Amino acid sequence: MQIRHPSAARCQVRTSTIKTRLTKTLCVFFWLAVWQTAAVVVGQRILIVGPVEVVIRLFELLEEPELWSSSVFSTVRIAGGFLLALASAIVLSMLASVHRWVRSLVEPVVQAFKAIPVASIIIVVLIWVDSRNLSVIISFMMVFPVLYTNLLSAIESTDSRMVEMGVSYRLGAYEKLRLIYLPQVYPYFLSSSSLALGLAWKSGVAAEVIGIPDGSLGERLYDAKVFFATADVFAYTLLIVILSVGFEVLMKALIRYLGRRLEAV
Amino acid sequence: MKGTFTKHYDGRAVLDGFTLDIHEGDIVRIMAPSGGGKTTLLRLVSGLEENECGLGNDFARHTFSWVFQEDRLTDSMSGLSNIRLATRGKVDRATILCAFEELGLDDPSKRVDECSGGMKRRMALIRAMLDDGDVIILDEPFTGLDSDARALACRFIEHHRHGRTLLLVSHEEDVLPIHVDRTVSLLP
Ligand SMILES: Nc1ncnc2c1ncn2[C@@H]1O[C@H](COP(=O)(O)OP(=O)(O)OP(=O)(O)O)[C@@H](O)[C@H]1O
Ligand SMILES: [Mg+2]
Repeated sequence: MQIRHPSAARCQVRTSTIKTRLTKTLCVFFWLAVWQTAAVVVGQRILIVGPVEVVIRLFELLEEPELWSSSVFSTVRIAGGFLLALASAIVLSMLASVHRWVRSLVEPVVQAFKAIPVASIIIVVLIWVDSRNLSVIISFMMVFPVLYTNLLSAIESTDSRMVEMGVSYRLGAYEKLRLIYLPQVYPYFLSSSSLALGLAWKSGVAAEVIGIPDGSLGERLYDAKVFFATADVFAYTLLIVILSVGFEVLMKALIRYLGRRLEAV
Repeated sequence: MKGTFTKHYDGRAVLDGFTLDIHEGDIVRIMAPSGGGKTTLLRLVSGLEENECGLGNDFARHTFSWVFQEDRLTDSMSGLSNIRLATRGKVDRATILCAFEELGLDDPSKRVDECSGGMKRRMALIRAMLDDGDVIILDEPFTGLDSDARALACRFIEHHRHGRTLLLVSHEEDVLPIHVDRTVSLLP
């Protein structure tokens, strides 16, 4: 095998990442072009609106202060549901890994959350509580099983030799957590929370469209549909995607920061 | 200190009523061919493995500081954090830095997964020697060390033993620059 100069190899790596980036961008532009062409060909704004118009419409809508307050309304509730699920999943998965009975107790609930259709849950929750906080409950119920199951299996798959090291060195709970459990669980935590965040937004907005709480993004989406304002539907959707991606980036940065503090990355 | 140990794996006896009888404070070297049950004996002595022999075991009331045959360090942390946490915060930073120097290691804040095999082995050794167990157990602590590094490691062990009992497993052919009080053979 030929040995190449390291800087040549590095150079090659750089050009190849530039190449993949370029390919990715081109693919995105290709599909945007397909979308724009479809909009022009169909020519009916009630059916489909092109990407350029959607962005313009979003900027117009953002001039209304009510849209900003709707965004805050929905973000706070959906993020709240997610954070609540995260906190419960952390506490319950830790308890479940220590006490069998906690595990047995939580298991049917997790299975039920997974099996019951979201629409049924939304309707039942609407019968019980005010629609204002519907999306908190729905995003909680969607996210909790994912986080709990992943965290529990991460804790269970902890390297038994490291656990033995912990026993032999007579480690306390704090040291065990830092040396053995956190580094093991951290990667699962990162990947499952990213998955769960997407779920929280999708289910939360779906719940708002069905429950139509006053002053939510879901209500606006619903109204836009009723008035056949297709451009608005697309613009609100884009806004929701931006909010969910923004929140995901923020959460990931926070988790990475905590990971670095605990040297668990 | 005396204990008699029996262990079967899959119906085959690895140790069958083997008696380890040593003086407190001795350095004892345990010899046996590969797969001869050295690690098994150390695990039985330290209580990590259940002893099938019901006779009295003086080792049971002691605490142990281990160098396992594998390093068993946390990869995502620095050597320094590994040692500090494993010794439950009882050993201060300066002592650990000093130990790194004694063994000729340079960067205590380097992540373990970026360290060489020999560096990891020595960090595992620091962790055991600075810990306060009554009995020190070293299972092949010199793997991956050349003769100079091994000499430093032996000096380090003698310096930090403080009269504690030490059980050492090392390759048969190794002539060690350390004073051994007793050699125990596990005959197959
Ligand atoms: N957990 C286990 N399950 C089944 N067999 C085992 C187990 N641990 C050890 N053994 C068997 O017991 C025997 C002794 O193993 P042990 O690890 O004690 O040997 P050793 O002297 O430490 O060998 P080495 O020099 O290779 O480290 C081996 O034949 C091994 O296969
Ligand atoms: Mg062994």
